[in-house]
Amino acid sequence: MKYKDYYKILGVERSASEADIKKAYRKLARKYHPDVSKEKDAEERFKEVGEAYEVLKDPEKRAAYDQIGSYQPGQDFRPPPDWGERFGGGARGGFAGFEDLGDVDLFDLLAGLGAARGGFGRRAGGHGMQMPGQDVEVTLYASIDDLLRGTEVEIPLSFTEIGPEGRPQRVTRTTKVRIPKGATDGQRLRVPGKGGPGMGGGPPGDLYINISLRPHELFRVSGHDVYLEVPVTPWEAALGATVEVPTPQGKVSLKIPAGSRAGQKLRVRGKGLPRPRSDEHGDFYAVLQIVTPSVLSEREKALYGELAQASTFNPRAHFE
Amino acid sequence: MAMGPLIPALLGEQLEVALDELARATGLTVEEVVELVEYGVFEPAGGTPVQWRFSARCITLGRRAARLRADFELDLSGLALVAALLERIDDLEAEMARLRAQLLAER
Repeated sequence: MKYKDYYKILGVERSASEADIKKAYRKLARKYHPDVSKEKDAEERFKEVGEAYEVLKDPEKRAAYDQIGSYQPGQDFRPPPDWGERFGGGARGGFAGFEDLGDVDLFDLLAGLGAARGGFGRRAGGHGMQMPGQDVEVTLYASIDDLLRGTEVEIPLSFTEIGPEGRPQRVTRTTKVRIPKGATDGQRLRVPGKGGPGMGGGPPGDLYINISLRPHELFRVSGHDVYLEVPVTPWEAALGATVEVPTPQGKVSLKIPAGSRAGQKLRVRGKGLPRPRSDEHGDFYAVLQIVTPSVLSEREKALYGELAQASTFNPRAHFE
Repeated sequence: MAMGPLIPALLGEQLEVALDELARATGLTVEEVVELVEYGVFEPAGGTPVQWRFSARCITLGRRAARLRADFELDLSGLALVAALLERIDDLEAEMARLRAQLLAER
């Protein structure tokens, strides 16, 4: 079993009072709460902080945790021999036999301590109270292609269950889902009944999936519309041209009208991402960018010179 | 037993849920949902609570509200304020993402 330093996670001394622990938790929770925080690893940190608080705010769990001793975070350890009898929940003999607890999470073990005292222990006897399973939220990183074609993904989820021995155990289950047509960046999806298992015959929780679009090297996505920056030469912009451009649905011929400006958006209808509940697609936008060659040949220089002489165009007329 | 992939429901404007379904999905009580409607956090269609239909977006919003309430021990009026501000931030971020998609890449 790997050691976690809950005091260090909350940034408090081992002798900290309950009030200090609560204060430290509130401060960190505000900083890392995934619903409000923009910190890079907010979700991870918030979970860690929540776990530490869950244990340290409960005098019994804290006492049990303190008995384990102090190790380096991540260091392998084994609880003292009589720990199970002292903290494991009396009549059921607690968690006997720590030899094979190798992959058990420390938090699960401490959470199981509460469970053995309360509901789960009774449930094992068949008189448990019903508890609905936990809802689970996961983030799924999808590509534009996934959203376009509706890829199947397998989502492995692990839950802590109280096994027949009354000991917490990690169970991994894989749920296969297909990203439905119409999903896009930031979309929330729900799969009923695929969250954590219910206790004592309670219904299972739901699985919530947050779609996060992986950045594409060319395309940018807004809702169901797709944008692409299309570089054109000054003469293509001035004289008009037909150029071939990629879209998520394959290449299209794009007609650039004569006299186009930089930043101008040309729309190609229906070449964006699929919209929900219809056969329609969002639109594709080519955003023109006028690019001048950085190195000019003598001939090109001469032609630009000739153009400068011949043209009366003044783009700064409104300054005068 | 081989099982085909599940097709999750899109929690968007198209899908609607009733009051009890929203309460169940968010972990809020029916009374709390009713109070949040009074505060204007949720805006259901339909006249009386029995007829109320909530857009499925409310599930996302309500779940977030329930988490914030539990994690910061907020009362419902404070929660209503936080929810309104978070929704505004969401709208601003969506607008920012839309504009960023249209902007030319920086050189």
